[in-house]
Amino acid sequence: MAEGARLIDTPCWTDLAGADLPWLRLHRLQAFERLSAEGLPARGDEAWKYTLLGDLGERRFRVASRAEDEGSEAGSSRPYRPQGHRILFRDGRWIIQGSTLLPLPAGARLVSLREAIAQQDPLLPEMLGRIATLEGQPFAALNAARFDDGLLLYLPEGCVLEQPIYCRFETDPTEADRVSFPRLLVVMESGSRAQLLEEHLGANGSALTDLLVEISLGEGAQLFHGRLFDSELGDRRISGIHVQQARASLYHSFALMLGGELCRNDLQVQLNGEEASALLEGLYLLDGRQHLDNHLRVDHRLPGGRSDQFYKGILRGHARAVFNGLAVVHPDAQHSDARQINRNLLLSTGAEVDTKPELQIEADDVKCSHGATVGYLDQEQLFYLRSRGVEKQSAQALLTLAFARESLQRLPRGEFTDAYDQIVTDALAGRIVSRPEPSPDTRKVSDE
Amino acid sequence: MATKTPPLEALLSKGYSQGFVTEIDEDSLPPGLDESVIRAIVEKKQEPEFMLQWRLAAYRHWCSMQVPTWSRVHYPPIDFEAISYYSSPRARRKDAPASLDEVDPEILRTYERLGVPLHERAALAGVAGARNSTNVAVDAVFDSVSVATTFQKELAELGIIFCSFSEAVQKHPGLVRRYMGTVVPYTDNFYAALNAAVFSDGSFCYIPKGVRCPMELSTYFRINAAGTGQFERTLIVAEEGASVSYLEGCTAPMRDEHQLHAAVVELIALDNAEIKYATVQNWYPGDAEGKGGIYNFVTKRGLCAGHHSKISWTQVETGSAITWKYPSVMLKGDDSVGEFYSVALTNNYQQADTGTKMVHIGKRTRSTILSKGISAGRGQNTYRGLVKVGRKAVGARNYSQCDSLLIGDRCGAHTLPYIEVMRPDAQVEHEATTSKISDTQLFYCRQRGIDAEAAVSLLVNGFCKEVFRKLPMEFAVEAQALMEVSLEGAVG
Repeated sequence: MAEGARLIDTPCWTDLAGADLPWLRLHRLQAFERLSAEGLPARGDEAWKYTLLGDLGERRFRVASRAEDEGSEAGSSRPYRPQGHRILFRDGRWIIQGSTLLPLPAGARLVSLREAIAQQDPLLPEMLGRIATLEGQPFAALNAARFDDGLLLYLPEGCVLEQPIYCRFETDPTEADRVSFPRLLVVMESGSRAQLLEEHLGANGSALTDLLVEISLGEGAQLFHGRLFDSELGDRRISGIHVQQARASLYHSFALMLGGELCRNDLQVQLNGEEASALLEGLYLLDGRQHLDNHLRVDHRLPGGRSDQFYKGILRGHARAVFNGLAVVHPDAQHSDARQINRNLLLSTGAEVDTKPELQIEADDVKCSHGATVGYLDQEQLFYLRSRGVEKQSAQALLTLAFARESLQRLPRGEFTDAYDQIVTDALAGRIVSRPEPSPDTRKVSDE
Repeated sequence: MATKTPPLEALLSKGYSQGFVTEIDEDSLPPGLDESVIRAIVEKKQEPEFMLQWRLAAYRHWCSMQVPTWSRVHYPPIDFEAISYYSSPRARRKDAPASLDEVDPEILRTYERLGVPLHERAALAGVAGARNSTNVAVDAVFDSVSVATTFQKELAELGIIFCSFSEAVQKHPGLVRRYMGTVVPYTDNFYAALNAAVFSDGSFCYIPKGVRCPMELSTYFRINAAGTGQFERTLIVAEEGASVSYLEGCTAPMRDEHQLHAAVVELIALDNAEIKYATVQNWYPGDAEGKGGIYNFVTKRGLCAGHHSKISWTQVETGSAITWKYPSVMLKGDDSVGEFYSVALTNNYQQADTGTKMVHIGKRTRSTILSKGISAGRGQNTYRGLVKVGRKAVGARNYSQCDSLLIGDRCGAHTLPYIEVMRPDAQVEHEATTSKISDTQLFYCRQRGIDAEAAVSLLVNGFCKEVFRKLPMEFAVEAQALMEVSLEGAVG
């Protein structure tokens, strides 16, 4: 077994895909220089105020070799619902044996990033690294310096992909201290439509995944981006999602976050065209010592843009959730409509929520609002159910599920919505309802 | 939107009516700051040894600190060596004036022009001054020193101590020593450390057990001298079951250069005590091009030390080139209550980064935040707040609402609420909206013959109504008038 290296140590450049391409070497070197200059987030860094990385910077991680990944067992048996293009990533690498691609419309490209680099796809020098901002994003810089594989999705004008694309990310369950740097690039020309579904599943106790996704949406393009985190406790996932939107495009992101010890998402959306819309939604169900940090930023740069951030969460145990939503309305972005909601349900005394819905507005003809709540189940609703003979535990379960379903109802109807609903229902039944805690001390629930 | 009307132009030139300079002899220390300046201040004020030691400790700590840069306000670096840290009107006699008759008549005239009643009898008879319908005891602070405190005798009969900070240091050193720096220690922040080192005067107020203060107490701050900074310190202690309502007003002359005002206010409420603190801040905001104006960098904090205590901040911020302050409440006592009501208006090139901190420590503590920000011209208005519910704050409750109104397309409104909750039984709600002044409402007013200027003023006042209602009556009227003046030129 090879010796591990620290995250900020100089990578072995020649091992990486496309090491001989000058533009790619420059891209990686610049990213690495930025990372070296800025370092990993430390105490006192405002963007990481509530998420301390502890010894992550000092830990020695190992990148799995290609041979190891390809040789290992097939992954999770979780079914794919509905059918679609299936891509399995193990330790950040596209595994051919575990992947099944359906026929694609003419002109569309869905290939592994490694292959695209090998074939010198002309799109790459033009787009790769051009969407993500590395400034103040140390993990994006880390990925840019060290990525080796991932995915390239290109849809030409008017191309509609009916079947969703599943990207299932797994880490080798037998290895400790694995690190991987998957990189996704999605370029959709005007009028194209697609669904991209990330699934972050099972892992061992100490893996780190540093994902970087770059998305460019042309005029009127529509992308649904589902993100499911359902890995084992102990797993760490840090992702940066960077989106650029042209006129009248729609980016709809829905993150369902259940798993992992540490999960950090930096979602940055640039509304660069008029009338562009971004719907950023999330639902988290946390327990144990899970730590989840969602940082969202939407930049309204031109008139008529719309953004809607809607994150809800249910926390138990000693879980901690951080929400930092930011909407920036630039001086020319008149008629912008920006909304932010973050609602949290705290079900135990050890849990903690730190939320900061932030607005920066430099234009006057706008409609912006934000709201945040943190609290327990509504006592009146509980009382109502109890007065109608519903048992206390069932009443709590019912209200908790209703709280979660408000998020799910914002999803387009379809088979995967049902799948998400099932995951949430199971999770709530398994993790949250079966281990009831006495209701918090001051609340006098009438049935005692 | 509306077109400019001639009367508006006329009104515009009126601008800041408190911007005159009083010609009097000033006794100032030369600019610059080192330990000798602090010793000189202590000597001038004949302060006891513990004050000197405290100031020196603060100064040494300040020297080790960096100027904070996290706020959303922008200004060229302040040259702390160019400021004179002490300035007082030269006394006609050697010792402090024993009665109003001995105060320089120029200074009295200044306060008369500002509408601050320093003549007790006149105020009682209800003839002179602008806010004289009820009794208000006033401590008037002129540059670095307090020049007069009214109604001291009447208050003393109830055991209430209301005097300048200097007088308190001389006459009640025990109380000062016991409470000063307990809520805002000199290590708290850069400007609090600076203030602790060089503060020259301010107000001190002590309400003994069970006493309800029968009249409004008030401090009126006036910066007059050029090239000086004003550093005052206010300390209010309400003993068990006591209650007091306190007002603060401030103005300064119009000058091209910026002047620094770095104050510290500490409030302490013991069991069942209640303190209401209202500020109408009208420092000189600078001209329409952003030249001049006061930098108002203030630390205000209250400690609800006892159970069932209550501290309420109300502020109307219309002045200052830059306002940077967060009146906060530490809710330590069980069942204590904190409130924050704020209107902050920025016009022309004004900047405001203001808000509050509500730190819930005790059980069943409650807090309410109501913040209204108005940005016009090129004004930048930021609400920054923290609501923290600690592990032991069983059943804590907070409701926050912060709304922003934008007038014009060159201004900015920013909202940064931090919410940290560690209790499942806490209930924390935050709501905020940002919008421009409603065209429909404007149209409705215009259609009924109300001109644009008056319509905007009407709508803005409506927007602020909930906060103004919290002000004592005469201040509410003043605040409303102030809004109108401050908004001039914003429409059109």
